[in-house]
Amino acid sequence: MFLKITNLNKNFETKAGSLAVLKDINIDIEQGEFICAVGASGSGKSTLLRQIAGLDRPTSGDVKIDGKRVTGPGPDRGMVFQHYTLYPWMTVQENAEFGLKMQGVPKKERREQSSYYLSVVGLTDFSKALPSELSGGMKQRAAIARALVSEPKILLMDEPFGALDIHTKEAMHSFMLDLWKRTGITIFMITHDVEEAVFCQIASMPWAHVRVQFAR
Amino acid sequence: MKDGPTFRSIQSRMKPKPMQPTVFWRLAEDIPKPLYSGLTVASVAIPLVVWWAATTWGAIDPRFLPSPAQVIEAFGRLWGTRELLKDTVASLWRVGVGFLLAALCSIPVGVLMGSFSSIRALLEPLFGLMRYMPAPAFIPLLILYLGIGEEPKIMLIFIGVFFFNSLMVMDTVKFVPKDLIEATYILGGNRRTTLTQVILPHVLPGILDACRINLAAAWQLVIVSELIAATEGLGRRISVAGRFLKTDEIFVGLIVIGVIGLVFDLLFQYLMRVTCKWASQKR
Repeated sequence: MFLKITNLNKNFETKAGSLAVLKDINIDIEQGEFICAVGASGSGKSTLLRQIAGLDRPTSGDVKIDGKRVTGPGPDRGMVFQHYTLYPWMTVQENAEFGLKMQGVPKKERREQSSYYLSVVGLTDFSKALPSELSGGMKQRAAIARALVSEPKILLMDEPFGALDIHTKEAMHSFMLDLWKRTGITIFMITHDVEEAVFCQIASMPWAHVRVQFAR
Repeated sequence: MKDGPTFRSIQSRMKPKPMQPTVFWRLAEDIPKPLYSGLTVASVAIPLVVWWAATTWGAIDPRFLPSPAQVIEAFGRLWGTRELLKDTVASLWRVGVGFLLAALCSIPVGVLMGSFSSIRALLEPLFGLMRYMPAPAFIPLLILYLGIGEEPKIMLIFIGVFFFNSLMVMDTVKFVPKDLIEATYILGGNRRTTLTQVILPHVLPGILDACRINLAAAWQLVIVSELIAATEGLGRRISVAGRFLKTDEIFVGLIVIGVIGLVFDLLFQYLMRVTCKWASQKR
């Protein structure tokens, strides 16, 4: 298994007591799969994604990617957030190559790499634009390019198209499918939109076992 | 849907307030450019004209309110003897040194306070308390500790700017979206790179704005400090002129102080536009 989640539990301490957001989650994802997880708001989708990303530690159980236990965020996982998280003072190209810059990749190579992925997402003509000059869909495409530039093993997407209008959303769906077919990357996307999940196909997870429950 | 003879639409209970078209009273909207420039000119011109008319026809004692011509004459006189230049340079120097020192210390402290809860817990209570102690109230202590030379004046400006600026810079750091920081972690950034390459550039416009506001405070404090013990400086010039009833020189001092402050403000706004294009586009 490429992504293996075993007996994952996550509790949050609240005033009303311990809140079990994730309870005994077991998920296996093969390399190259495009998995959509569907669930209502508050069902713990984002929390699950944060455990995989390493932004949060599970209360118990563990997440393994390629056999390696996740202990923190790292460039082997790319992530696209629900809200636009481009750096507003950097151009699209600078945004795309920022990850490589932090990893100490020489300028020429990171320029080549980021240019390639900007062309993949169709933003070559906007490489010198600031994020504020882009539309919502273009911003998310730039964010996807930024996530792909480091060639992560898995792309995590947290309701990435939630803020887009229906037309742009549909265009992004075909774009994602196309991207997935061309790059063969593993994608784990969460959404509250069943249509989105069905379109992206591919596997809609029965989410019944993930529910907000108060632990006794 | 309600029906029957008793049904009355809620619409009939409404008292609509008509909205007339207007240019001058447009709410949160731009007005035509010529009107805007006209009003800008008027904001300076009207007080000048009123001042000029009052002193020409109002039979006011010039020791109480000198005419614009007398003030210009006094300006020429003070400029000619190079006293005005000396005073201006003295005040500018004090503000420059005091403010620069305060900014150099408060910007890193403020960024650290905003970024790390630990540093905030360590410093915020003290700074919050110090902020409410008016800097001029420290003058007796400063004279006691540092004498009556330049040091207490610079220190006064430092105290007046440092605490405010630290807390204002700290607040700007709070506006860095958490998603942006997490996105940086995912891209492989550690805490140091996140601080220097994401948080710092993001708060730079906020820092410049905080400095711009606190420079105005520094400029007030230098005048206060010179009222107490100084041999030169614009504040000193005003208090001496007051002692000899040279009202025209008081006016010269006030206007020079105001104009220099305004120039500083515009400089900071310009600096912001040049260095932080991404942030000024939003405003």
